Amino acid sequence: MQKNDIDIKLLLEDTGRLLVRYQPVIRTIVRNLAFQGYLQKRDISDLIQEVNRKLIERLPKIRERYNYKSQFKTYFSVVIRNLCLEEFRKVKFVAEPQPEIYEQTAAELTSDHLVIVQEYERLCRAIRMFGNEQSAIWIALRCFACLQVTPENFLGFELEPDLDTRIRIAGQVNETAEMQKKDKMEVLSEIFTHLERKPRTADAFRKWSSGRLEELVDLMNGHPPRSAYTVDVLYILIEKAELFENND
Amino acid sequence: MKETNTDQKSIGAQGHLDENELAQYIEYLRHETDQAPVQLIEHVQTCSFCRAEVMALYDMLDALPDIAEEPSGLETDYRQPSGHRAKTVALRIIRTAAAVAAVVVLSWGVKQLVVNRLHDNRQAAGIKMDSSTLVGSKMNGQPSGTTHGEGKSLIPDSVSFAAAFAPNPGYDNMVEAKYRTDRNPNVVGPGPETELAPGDSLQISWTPNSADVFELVIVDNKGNDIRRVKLGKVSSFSWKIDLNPGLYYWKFTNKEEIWKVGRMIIKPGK
Repeated sequence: MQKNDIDIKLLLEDTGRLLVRYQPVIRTIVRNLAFQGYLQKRDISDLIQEVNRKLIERLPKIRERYNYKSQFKTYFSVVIRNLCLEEFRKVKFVAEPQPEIYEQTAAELTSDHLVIVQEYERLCRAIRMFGNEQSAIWIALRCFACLQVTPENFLGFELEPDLDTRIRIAGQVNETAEMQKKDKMEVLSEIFTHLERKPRTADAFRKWSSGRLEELVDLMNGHPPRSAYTVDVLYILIEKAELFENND
Repeated sequence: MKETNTDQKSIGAQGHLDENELAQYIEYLRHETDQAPVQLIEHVQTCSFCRAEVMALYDMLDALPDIAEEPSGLETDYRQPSGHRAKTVALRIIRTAAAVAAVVVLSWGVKQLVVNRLHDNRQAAGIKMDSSTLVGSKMNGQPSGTTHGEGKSLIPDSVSFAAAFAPNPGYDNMVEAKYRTDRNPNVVGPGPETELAPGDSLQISWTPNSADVFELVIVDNKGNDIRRVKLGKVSSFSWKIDLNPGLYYWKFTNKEEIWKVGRMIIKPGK
């Protein structure tokens, strides 16, 4: 029987056993959130107990609301996390030196290479959430980071340029490598106006790109912050990730 | 446009993805489903709140342990037939053995990477683990100051790339702290937002006290000791930075107490 089938069977027939089965997940979620919030370590077991108590109360409603369009583990993890956040809002945070705060971040990361690959995947995932704007964001990022763009980077726009056009545009962007940022924005705003079939001034492009980059930094850092990315560190991350990729 | 399920609990204010929709979208992002409803994709594309929620949940899901294949120690009506059970047990043994083998191979590979990386770091930083990089000007003209922990690596191998810059709330509080005034050596050092580059100098000065033996400790943002320097009979200290990029704190201490904590950012180089 598939894991999801077992979960659903327990959800329908035996919620107590379902909760037992999910104890490792509950503990991990509570600990992760507690560490991020600098909660005193001794309070974590109390919190786990409280979360379990609440889950027992709410399982009938959870069963009712689950729409079966995702794996139960994914859905239930989201529910547990939201329940934990409800509880955390009631608890007073104490800011004291907590050396074990970072043990989660450092755990199992024994190589910069692996870390950079993982962080780069997180960045790709974050950009993917921007849907139609993915291509534009990647081009802007690479251009500001003084990295080369390729003709393939120009797929996914409203206007589907042919290969020759993409080669020409990529060349134009790559020629901006030594330019000041404001000059790069001028070039990019013209190119995007053409590709997106809607006018975009350099100022509008500046506002859009700043907003997107700031949000990417925010997404990579998380709330509360688990990292301290800046835009410059993002550029370095992309550069290093590609270096590793090229060396593989 | 997104159809809001008003009878279901929303994550935040009305108009954001609910728990089912978040789960569905995350599985789409993880390529666990081929597609997600267009309205979910379009909503996330336009909603920064939901993007932040998805990112946080995705990071959380990455860290979750696997659920056991079968409920353990339970009397259930879905116990498999014995032949199938034997096959399941055999498969589990094979999978465990394969996982152990994979971990051994991966550990060996990582160890090779780490050893090479440490070697490259040391060469790149031009590290000299001796007192020639430390200079102190002394009251009576004789330089003093030694390094401790020679041969110790500069940063723990497990420092995450950007987490090296994350502030440590405990030490940040100490940077702002006021210390009692009697016997205060009046330590003067760089301000808390100082940014330094490898090769710059960290300069600290104080009023020496013949009765006290002071020590300077450099820690990373996780509180790990990076360098300890006994300061001897000097009134100032200058150290050429040879640290990897990140956020660091320096502690000026004697045997009994910390007199001052400072903060410095070592900028990444290209």
